[in-house]
Amino acid sequence: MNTVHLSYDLIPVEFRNEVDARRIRGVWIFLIAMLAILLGHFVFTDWLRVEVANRCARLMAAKVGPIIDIRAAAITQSEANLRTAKSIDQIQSARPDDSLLQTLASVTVAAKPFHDDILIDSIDIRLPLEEHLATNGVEPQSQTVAVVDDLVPRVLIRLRVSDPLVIESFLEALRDQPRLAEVDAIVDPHSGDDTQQELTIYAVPQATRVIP
Amino acid sequence: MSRRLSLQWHVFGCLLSVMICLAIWHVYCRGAFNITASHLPYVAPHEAAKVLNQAEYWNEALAQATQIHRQQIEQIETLATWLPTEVSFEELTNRLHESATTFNVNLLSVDQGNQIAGARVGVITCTAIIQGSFAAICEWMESLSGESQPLWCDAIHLSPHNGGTNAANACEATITLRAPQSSGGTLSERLTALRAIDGH
Repeated sequence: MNTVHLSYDLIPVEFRNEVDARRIRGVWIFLIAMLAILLGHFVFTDWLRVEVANRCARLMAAKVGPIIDIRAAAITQSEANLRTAKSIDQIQSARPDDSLLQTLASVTVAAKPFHDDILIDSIDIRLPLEEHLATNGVEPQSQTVAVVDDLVPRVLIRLRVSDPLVIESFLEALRDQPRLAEVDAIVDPHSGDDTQQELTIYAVPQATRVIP
Repeated sequence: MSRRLSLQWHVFGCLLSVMICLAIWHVYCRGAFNITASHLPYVAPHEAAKVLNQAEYWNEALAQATQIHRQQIEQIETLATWLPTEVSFEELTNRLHESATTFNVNLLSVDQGNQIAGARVGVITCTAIIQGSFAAICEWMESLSGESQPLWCDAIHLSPHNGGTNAANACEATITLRAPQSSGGTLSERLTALRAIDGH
């Protein structure tokens, strides 16, 4: 240490300052180089991260994206299909059929064995309608009952019988018909003469489909 | 002279290091680059694997759904054969008269009723008064429900004409008929729209 100090004294001041300056420059350059390397490292790491994320996203989008789209389309389509199938079924149920004729036929079939004893004056059949079911089911309003009553589904048969004993078996025959329910009869009181009795039969028709 | 030089190096070095430090801090905290693919749908890796495994399944599901959709369109086409968009009363009357002559019943009158919008289909109603033998009337009614464009019979009042007996040939019947049409029906209108969309 001493010798160095001594030797410095021997060196001209100018030269010593120049050596100092060179050393200081070296230190700063080294520091700056280190910092630059550090910066470079961070920049490179960041670039790598972003590049990997981008590639990953592109890869996913290319491979998984179409499948996700297909999945969404399949789900939407099958949901729409369910709704459409339901609608088709409901509209299919509005296709006209021969319900009225079937009901009429069940009356005539029931009446056939008693062909000789009963005389049918009139048959009145009214099948249940969609609108009545709607108004009856949703809001039974007392003031519209009178109007609706005229449109209530019913089977009404007016007939004359020569033999009162036939009535019960005819009613049984009617009750056996699947198209008729709640079969009931009212004997007209002021019509009964000796040979014939007037009779009104009420029943509720059973429709397989609701008429629109 | 050299003292000034070293001072210059100090200043230069300090400034540069501070700048580089700031740059490092910025890169470290904020990042130097942006993810350009961020607009693409992001899928978590574990979910992506699951989805990739289900590819076959969803392909099949879509094919099946499309197949069902096509069948439904066909079904709607068949619905349209018996469910016209609109039925005019004149056309209806003509059809009734035609079938009445075929089945040998006497169609006395056809009264126009009203148009009813139902939940499923719309209907146009009419009341027909006919005369004929019981068998003929039944056959006529059967033909009405069996036609390519069938009609609903919802009510009938059947009584012997001329005060005839039970076996009398001539019956008189008042029949309420309902012709379905797709306009005026909420459901059928929607289906018609679906068919139109698919057609174009």
